[in-house]
Amino acid sequence: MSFLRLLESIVLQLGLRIFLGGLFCVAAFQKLSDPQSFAEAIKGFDVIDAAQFEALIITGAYTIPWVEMAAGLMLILGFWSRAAALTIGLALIGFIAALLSVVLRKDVDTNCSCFGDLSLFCGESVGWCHVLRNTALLIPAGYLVWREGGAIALDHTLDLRAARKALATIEEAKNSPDPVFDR
Amino acid sequence: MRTLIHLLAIAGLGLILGTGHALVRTAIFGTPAVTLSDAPADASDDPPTPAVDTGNTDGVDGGVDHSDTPLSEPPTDPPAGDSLLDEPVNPDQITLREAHDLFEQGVWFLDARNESDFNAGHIEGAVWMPASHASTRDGQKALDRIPEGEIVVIYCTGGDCDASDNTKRRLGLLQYNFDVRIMGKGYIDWVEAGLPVTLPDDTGSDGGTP
Repeated sequence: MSFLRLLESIVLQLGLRIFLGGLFCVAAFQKLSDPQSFAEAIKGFDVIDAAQFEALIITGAYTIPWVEMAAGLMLILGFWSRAAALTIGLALIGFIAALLSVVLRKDVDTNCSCFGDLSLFCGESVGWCHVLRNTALLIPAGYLVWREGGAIALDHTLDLRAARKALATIEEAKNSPDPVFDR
Repeated sequence: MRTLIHLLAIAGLGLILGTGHALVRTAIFGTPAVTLSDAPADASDDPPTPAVDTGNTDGVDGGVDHSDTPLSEPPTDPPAGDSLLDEPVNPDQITLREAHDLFEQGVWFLDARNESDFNAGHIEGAVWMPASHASTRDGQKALDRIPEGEIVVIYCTGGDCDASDNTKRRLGLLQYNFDVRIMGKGYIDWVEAGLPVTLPDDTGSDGGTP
């Protein structure tokens, strides 16, 4: 492994994984501590008809934070890094669409609740700042989908182990009296 | 293809954990199930007896002492014209004039907006109480000071804000037995009508700091 590749693994891939994964873990924890508030926040966006799809909103209020938590932890550990980053990216796209619908309609005043009661970088009421923040977060997510978790990741360790096992099997087969390798 | 399978696995994991969370939360810990329909928060709906502790007044954030007289002296004749005060609201809400009449009687006002909006100014004597705060220990300390069956007016920014409804629903879920009224017009209209407010630089007996 070249020095530059190692540097990228440590500084960029590991750094971004911890940043993005940690951010989503915090967001998920805040939402999970008060699912009622998150369900009300989803309703406040007025994207889904709450009267007709109440069960869907409530299911989302429980499921979305757990997906965020799972993806965040996997990203930090570097396990299924590409899929975890893709999950976070898709979630961000969904959030951006919902935020845009609120910002552009102008007749809806609701809180973001993106990080529960915390307001990271932006205020509480939904505005362009939230759209920009989530769009900016798409950059590290996209980078990690492209480059995966890097060398300091569980994926890499597991791949190495699998590769070593495969090599050992091939060596073992070569040394055996199996006629396949004699031809 | 492998990434897509992993993606679906993460989504499935989230669904399983979410379902488990919902079941454990309601079945084992007995926390009220998440709902978006209006729970009974009015006195007439006869919910179970709430844990009211009117004696607990030490170190409580928010709230003012309503035991004797109205907490403030609002103007008898609001400066605004009748049009704004009597502007029609939804049937289950109260007009600005009705809210002001209740204010003069010294009833409790709960501010359902977010903390920064509350700190920037609020109805005189109002207690900061968005739905999420009502579930906290501090929020419940403040709510416990309100006697059972008391009239409580909840307001938010105005217009289509549904924070008041969220707080009302949360009070119902927490089994507080108040006579809840939703102010159809919001804080903006209250200010526009020239009714009493507390601003950040005001000093006085207002105890509504979150």
